[in-house]
Amino acid sequence: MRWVWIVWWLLLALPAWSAPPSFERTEERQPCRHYNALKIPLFGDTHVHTRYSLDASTQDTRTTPQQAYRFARGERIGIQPWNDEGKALRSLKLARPLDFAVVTDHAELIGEVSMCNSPSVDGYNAWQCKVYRRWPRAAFFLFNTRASAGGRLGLCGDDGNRCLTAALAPWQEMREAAEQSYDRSDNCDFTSFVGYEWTGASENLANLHRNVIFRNAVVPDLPFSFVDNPTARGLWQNLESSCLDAGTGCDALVIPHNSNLSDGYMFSPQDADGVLLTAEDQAKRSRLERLVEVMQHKGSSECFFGPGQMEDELCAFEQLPYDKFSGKFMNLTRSAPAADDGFLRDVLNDGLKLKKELGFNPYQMGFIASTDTHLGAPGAVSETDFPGHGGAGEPAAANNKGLPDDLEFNPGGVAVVWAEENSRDAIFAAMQRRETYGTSGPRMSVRFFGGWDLDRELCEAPDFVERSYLGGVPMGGQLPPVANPEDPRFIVSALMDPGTLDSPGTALQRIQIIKGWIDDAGNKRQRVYEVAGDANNGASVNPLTCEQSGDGFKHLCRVWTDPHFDPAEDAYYYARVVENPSCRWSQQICVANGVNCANPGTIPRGLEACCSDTHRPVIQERAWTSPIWYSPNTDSLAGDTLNNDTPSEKHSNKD
Amino acid sequence: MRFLRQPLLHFLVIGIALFALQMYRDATAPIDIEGLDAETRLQLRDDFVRQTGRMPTQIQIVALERQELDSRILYAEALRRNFHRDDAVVLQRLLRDANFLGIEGSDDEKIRTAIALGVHESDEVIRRRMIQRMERLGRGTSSASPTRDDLEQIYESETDRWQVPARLSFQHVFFSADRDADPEGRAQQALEELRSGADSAGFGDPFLHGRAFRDKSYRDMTYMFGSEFSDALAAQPPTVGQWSEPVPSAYGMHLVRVTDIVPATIRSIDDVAAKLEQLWRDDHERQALQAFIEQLRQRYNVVAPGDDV
Repeated sequence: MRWVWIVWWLLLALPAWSAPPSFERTEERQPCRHYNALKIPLFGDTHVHTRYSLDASTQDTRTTPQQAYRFARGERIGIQPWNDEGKALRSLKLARPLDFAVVTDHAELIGEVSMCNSPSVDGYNAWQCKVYRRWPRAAFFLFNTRASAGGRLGLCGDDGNRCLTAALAPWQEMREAAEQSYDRSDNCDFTSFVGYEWTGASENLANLHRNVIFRNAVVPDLPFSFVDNPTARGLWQNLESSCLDAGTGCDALVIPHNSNLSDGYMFSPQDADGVLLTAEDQAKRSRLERLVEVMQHKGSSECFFGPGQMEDELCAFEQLPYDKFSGKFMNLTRSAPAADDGFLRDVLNDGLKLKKELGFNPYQMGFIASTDTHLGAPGAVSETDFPGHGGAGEPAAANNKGLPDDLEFNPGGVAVVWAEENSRDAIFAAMQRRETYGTSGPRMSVRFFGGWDLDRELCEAPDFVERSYLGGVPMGGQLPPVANPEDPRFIVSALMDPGTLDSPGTALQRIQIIKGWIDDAGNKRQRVYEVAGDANNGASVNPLTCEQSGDGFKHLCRVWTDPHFDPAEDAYYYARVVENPSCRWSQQICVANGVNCANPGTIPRGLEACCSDTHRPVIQERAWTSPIWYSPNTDSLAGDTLNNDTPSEKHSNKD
Repeated sequence: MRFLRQPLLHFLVIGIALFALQMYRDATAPIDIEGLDAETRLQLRDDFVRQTGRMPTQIQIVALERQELDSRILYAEALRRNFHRDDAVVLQRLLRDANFLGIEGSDDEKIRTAIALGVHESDEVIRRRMIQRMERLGRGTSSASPTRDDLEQIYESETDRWQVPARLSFQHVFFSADRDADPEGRAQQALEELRSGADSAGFGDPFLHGRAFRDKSYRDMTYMFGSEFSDALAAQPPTVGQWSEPVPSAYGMHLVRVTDIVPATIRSIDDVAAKLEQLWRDDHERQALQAFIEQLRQRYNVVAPGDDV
């Protein structure tokens, strides 16, 4: 029988030797020893702040970009507070390293807006911040407008060198840190990317923040900040001219985040300055904004839960109680979240609507999640022993107990990418074609395909992945035009997070498929279908002990057909994989300190939040796959998912 | 030698000497700096509690206060060195502050007025920036290089770090625990047939990650299958080409057939030289900064808060 194995192995190895990779190689590096045409899940974090972000460094975060990457690879780092020999009094280490990470410090050298938002830092009481909090509109013009940015010119000397030098140093260090941390050997153990955060805000201080990620080491000389241009179209324009169309080999993508705090401004027909976005602007957007953060430290952006939309209770998961970050501190501007704030389910539907006007969908974005850590601790997503991510914490009372972060914040999520190998080109290409999903922390593995030729029995097939790629498109893709009179089928398959010895994974409860579409009357519609598992499996967690009980599923798989499919309607579908209930990070601390809300005597000073109305002690961790889109309009489709869905795209990727 | 007797020369020499003395005194005279008041001490303690969820010990309190004093000293020293007048970031910030306050004039005048108003002392961004610059100065730009001995010492002290784990390539046949109550029984049955040469493709349940894996460390296996799987495999190093007894995982039972083993190795000192140098340099810079701060501490005289400084 020996020859059988030899042939089998040859066949297995064949794609690596013979077929060219499905993505373009844009950099020099040793090829990875293993290339898997069926793709492997890579776990990462695309949103990381280190000491170079002012709002991190004012909290005494000392992690350098390089240390952040080391942390991602599994090394221990020190976190504040520090003793006088520069040694940290606390430390942190990932139970499982990440496969990739992107340090995204604020492009703005001085993030005063964030600083003024953080009562825990000294500068919060500076007079500038007091003014800022009292008259945010006035402060906006101070901090954000071109008028004040113009002041920089007078300072920089005639040739502008002084300012350039000042900004170059940190950017250079970020680039070097990314380079040094990148495994260019054939082991392909770890991938880093050069990136930054463009920290924009609208006039009413709604969040327009976006992360920029570069494909390889060819990057612009300086990051482009909101001081340079406070509008999103300014950013897109600059990235095109300084990178994508510069002819240097540079390539980038943009990941908006916290649209939950954007008060509807992030995905609005108008830009931050009130100017209407043109079709050309939108084309740039869809070329660059391939992904969006569905969840992070500062809440989930998936969907709205509240008046008018109460059917999907899972939307309440990590929903922030305000619609702008400034609302956290200023009662005047505080407003509760609303359905049209920029929750992604709604935004994706807006995209379908805009497609009718523009001929392409400007909001065709895949999902990832990340941390937005301000400790320089990528991937620190555990609900257990959460040290805080340096969110805007109120100082706790002088008591030996207290929550390490604000109650409404959370440890953040993980970005998962299906790529052929762990290299920059492979991951970047996967991000561009949106073959990604986000999780709220756990590492479940999720496959999601849609197509016209997917077999009903696919869940039973050992080679279901291969056959799904042949007969359909993966998450992030666009269904090709109707090929036969049958309805499209979707296969979703998920393995629970196996966890680690110290912290076993939680079993899966169910998988849902969420459909969004525009009905005949032009209304935005959404619907949640239960497709696998059991919502009433009886699993629960005792909030007094955090002990979990009841059975769940180690593996769930289902081939599903949309019972209400209408070939004339634009639609999108994404899968949500939900775990059994577990204790939220805050509740774990409450329990560890013996808090029982039924007995007020057990509530120590500093932990009153445990028993507040807004505390949700129990969560269900989850994964969100990128959507698969269906469009009845055949002219913008070519059966492919990348590079032909917008008019302005000029990429040369082969896939 | 008549010019030696010229009064003008005497005047100049004495003048220069006095000037030098003054410079020397300016550069070495002790400088008073305000100590921490009760409110600051409480604030430091509260911050620690908020960050760690623990009360600081007495030693930690001392360290926290020492650290706060050090940053005050660094800031004072930065002011003395006029960093606030020549740093691009600080100047830019001052200009914005001045604009905000409605100060009129050219950029230079605005900055001068802002400094005269003491804006730079109440602006946390400027303070941080200046402290950062001092720290960079303190870490130094020494071009000293470690000796071979230095590198060896670091190499020896961190042996765990240089280990390259063993990697296994293997196939597996999966028996899902969700499918029935006895995945082990099904695995045992299949095992007999596999050992007598049956094709593995006909056995087991589909597995999301496929049936063949290459070059996986035990740690990789833990992340993919759970620790019970990697522990079981590590406990009985398998024979290449043989189907294993059923191995448990987070998902069910597996029959595993290892096809290749790359044994564990230790990276040589030459191989990791660059990393060792970096470690040495980091440590070196940290020590340089400590020495620098220590020197400053000698010069700065902490006086009780509220006293005139």
